[in-house]
Amino acid sequence: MSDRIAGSVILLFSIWYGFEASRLELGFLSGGLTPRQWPYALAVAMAILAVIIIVRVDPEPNWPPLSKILDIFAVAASFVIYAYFLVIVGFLVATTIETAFLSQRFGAKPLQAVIVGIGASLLLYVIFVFGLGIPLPLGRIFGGR
Amino acid sequence: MEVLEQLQLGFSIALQPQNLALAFVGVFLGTIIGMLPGVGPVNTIAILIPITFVLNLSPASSIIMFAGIYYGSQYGNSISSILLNVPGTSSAVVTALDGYPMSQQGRAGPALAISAIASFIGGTLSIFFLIFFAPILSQWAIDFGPAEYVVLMLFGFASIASLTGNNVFKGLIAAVFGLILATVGLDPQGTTWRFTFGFMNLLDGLDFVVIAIGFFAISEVLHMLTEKDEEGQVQTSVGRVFVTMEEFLGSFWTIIRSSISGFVIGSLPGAGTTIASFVAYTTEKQLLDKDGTFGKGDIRGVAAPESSNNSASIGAFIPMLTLGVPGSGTTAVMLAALMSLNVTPGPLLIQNEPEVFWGLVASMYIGNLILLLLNLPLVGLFARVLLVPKWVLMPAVGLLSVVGVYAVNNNPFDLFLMALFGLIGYFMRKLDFPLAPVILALILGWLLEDNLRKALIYSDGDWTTLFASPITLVLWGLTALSLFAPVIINRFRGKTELHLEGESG
Repeated sequence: MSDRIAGSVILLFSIWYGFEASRLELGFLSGGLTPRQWPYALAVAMAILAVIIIVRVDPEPNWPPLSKILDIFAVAASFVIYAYFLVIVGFLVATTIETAFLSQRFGAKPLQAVIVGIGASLLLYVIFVFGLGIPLPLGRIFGGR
Repeated sequence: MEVLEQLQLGFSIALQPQNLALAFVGVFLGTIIGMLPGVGPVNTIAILIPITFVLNLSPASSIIMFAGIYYGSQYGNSISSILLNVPGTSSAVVTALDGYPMSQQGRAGPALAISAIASFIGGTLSIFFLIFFAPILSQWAIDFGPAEYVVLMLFGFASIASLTGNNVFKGLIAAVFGLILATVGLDPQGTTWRFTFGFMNLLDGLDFVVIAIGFFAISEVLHMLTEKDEEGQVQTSVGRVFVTMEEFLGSFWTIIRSSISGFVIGSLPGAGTTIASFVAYTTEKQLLDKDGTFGKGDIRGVAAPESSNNSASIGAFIPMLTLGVPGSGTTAVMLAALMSLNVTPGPLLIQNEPEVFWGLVASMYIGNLILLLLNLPLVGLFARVLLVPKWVLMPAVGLLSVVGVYAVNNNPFDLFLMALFGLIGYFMRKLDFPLAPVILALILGWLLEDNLRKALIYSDGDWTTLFASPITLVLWGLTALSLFAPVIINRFRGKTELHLEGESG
């Protein structure tokens, strides 16, 4: 069943990709392969392979429970949120919170998570800024860039 | 004699204090990170690439460090297989078969020692083969035109797609997906922006560092999040790490045989270290296992996969350095790193950038020596890393990835892409799609399209140019063979099983 769903998603993706390719505005052409033909070929190959996956299904994988799947999305989203907060509150604050959150998701108790967060952000800051000479954002609210 | 002169050049580069230090740091970090469950060489290199960019290392210095990480993490993997029965990557699965029983019997010391020694001998032998074969292969490939390159790359994709996963079609989907990702940005002709959807950040195409870290490291972190904790006692008291002369001599021919087969298999695109260690183990088992000791803590069962996978990891450099078509995920990531440093791996590499090639060769030797000297005395210390709980290790891996990706361009959009590809990578992993073909195809996709376009211009749009030369025909033959290899292997397996049933019944 998982393979059927995956195959269908891939099939839809390849149709969408081929459609987007057909809408490309072409510039000056110098012969050989046009910038549209290659994506067309890939879209067709992908569609054929997707149909094969739908027809010949592999054994079902062991899915984790739904709550764990939601966890995965939460962790992935946290990286994005981190990216935008980094500029505002600066590396040290953002990293401490992000690491503590990750640590807690991996089973740390609250106090442990906070310690890991503070420790990791200080350690990384020292390594990157003083060791490697890579500047990290100080944070807009603290007057940094 | 020319080779000796070149080697001397190589050693003079590899022995520069900075490069020596980088090899040391690479091996050291590689060993530690390689020990962490699930974090293999690809992840380690992907995470550390941004740092080499920011440090402005020369191409020779960068590849020296990557190579150090590569075999360091290979060994780190062996440590966790032997002590914990938790192989970091599939190539170390075989090491656990006899290595873990040995450590349960209190013989962790000899297991770790033979692993280091076997790796060292395997590495040394295969470096010797590399020096011999790489220039020959690159001489042969020097006349390749665009048509030959197109077919060569197709062969690379086909073999990596069919050999890295369990399902050829899923491997191929992964490869095509990588090719599709490579079409984002300016087309090779330089006239059309494709699939950028108005995002300024996509005009230059997808950055392989971001995608590789998302696909490998982040998806691994997400994967670990859903895995149940491994039960099992960590053995940190490894005792003295040594082998007796008797044990060493008993494994000597095993090491030699496995090194040779490992090198041959490793140099085939796609086959890689996993298949090499499986082949070495089963061969030795068939040859030597008269008393049924394999699988119950036979030291030769550790020596075989260890020498073979180290040898294969060096063999894997051959297609990457001489043809510009890497044979594994790890070498693909290294290739991409070299390309962004303006080094084009391929037949001309040895001529045009002798310091990169020979510096790498010399540093491999030095790296293997460092590995041996570092590991024999320090392995007990390394083993303590395994006691660090998951809730410290995994956030650390995630954080290193995030900071690395951010350090490349200082652009939050990159972190969004990284998280997105981390999720895609997680679901691909779960559904048994291999990840290595995606990265390989992403890196080579642009070159493939460009060469195809050139080939068609030279032939006036005649597609039969792809079948015109003897070289292309040989490569098409190899492509077909690699696609059908799993089918043939399975057929064989099926037959022998039937055969056995017939005998017993």
